[in-house]
Amino acid sequence: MRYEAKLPDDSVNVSAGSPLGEAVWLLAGVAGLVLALTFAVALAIEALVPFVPPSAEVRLFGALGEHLAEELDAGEGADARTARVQGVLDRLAARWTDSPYPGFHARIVEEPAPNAFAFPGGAIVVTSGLLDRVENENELAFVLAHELGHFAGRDHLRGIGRGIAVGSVLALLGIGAEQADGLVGALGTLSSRGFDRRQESDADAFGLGLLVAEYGHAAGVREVFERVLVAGADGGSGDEDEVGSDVETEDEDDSDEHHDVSKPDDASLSGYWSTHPPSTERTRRLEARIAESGWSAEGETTDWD
Amino acid sequence: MEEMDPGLINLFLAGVMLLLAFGIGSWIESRHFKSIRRREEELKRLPAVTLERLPTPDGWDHDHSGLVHGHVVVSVDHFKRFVASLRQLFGGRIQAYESLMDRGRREAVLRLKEEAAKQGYHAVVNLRLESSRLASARRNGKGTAGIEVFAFGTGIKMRRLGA
Repeated sequence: MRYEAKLPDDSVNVSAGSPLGEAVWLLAGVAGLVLALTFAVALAIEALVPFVPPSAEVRLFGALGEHLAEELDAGEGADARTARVQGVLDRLAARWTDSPYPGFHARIVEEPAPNAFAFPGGAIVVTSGLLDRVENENELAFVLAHELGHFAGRDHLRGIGRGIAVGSVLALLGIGAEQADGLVGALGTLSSRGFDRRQESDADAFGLGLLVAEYGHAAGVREVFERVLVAGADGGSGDEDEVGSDVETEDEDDSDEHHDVSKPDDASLSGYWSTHPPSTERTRRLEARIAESGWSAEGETTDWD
Repeated sequence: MEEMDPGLINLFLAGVMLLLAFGIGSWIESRHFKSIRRREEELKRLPAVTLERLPTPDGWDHDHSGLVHGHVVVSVDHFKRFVASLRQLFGGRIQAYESLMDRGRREAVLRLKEEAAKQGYHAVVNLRLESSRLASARRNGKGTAGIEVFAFGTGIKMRRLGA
């Protein structure tokens, strides 16, 4: 037997093709999988939420929501202000005649950014920044009525459910894919935002109905979007407006629904990344609804401060 | 200046890290392969075979033999590790690691041949390869820091009869 010296062939043991191309294909696969799974679970939860009676919700989350709301509650003269907000809230809630909830509780949190949250179990928290910015009761009433709209849509439950859905899909895929977590997380969040924006529009419409039922006109709606919630419009620090932007993690804290401030001329990308539809779009929809229903957009406002 | 979503920034940074790792990793790998090919050419005349014995050429006799070995520890870049972790979801060939293993095995054999040449051996028989994973301290030792490839065999020195 003769020994012949030969060099190894480079092309046999290493597949041809760039790992970059492989990465692109795999990423597309992961993206598709996460989106499909998240949407499937979110749809299942959408279908299930109406079957959870509000009494069960209050029993499950009432204590938790109250606890969170109490933790937030602070500030000088908060009691008197809270009582005033509670008064407005009670009148609006009374207009929601077929409300399945036993009652709603108002809370104030010391926070310069204008914002409001709905907690499972019936607590509504408004920031002191919001109260400082409203110029009449009607504006506050619309924000509170919007939060009542979230209760009507059971959105806070959907929020918790989606958080669990996204969390479990990520945990499922996260095994062995530590480096992919950031990307997978971002995709999961992105896929849940479309739902949020529809919920905001529904809550707007519901809130508008309550507002008109209470005051007889829709004054204050436009101002909420054009002045009260606009970042930095009148000296309030609007930088904290992304309070709720880290939506849907497993924590219960994230189950809240919130107003956040969308700048009037949102670029399309930031509009998509925001949980709420751009303010201009919301105002336009609401004004169309006011006109359709033959309501008055202006009227006598009730003083606040 | 529009405020950016922190999630977007993280995603962007992760992407930059991956591309950077891909660029640097590819550069280092192609340099290594160049060096491997050059040294393979240089050591072409020193046979390293898996046979247990080689026929003795006429006029030559076996002088002495001894253990020779070569080993190497190689790591993959962040990008390839990322691609491989995605591959774990779907299954299939982890192409990203093929070049890593190829580099490891060829480098280990080259080092074995280099040692054999230094010790004056004419050939290496009974060549064997072993590879093992080096655990990383991250993720409770479940991560991979790199691989070690170990090549060993028996070096043979011949002597001319009557010399």
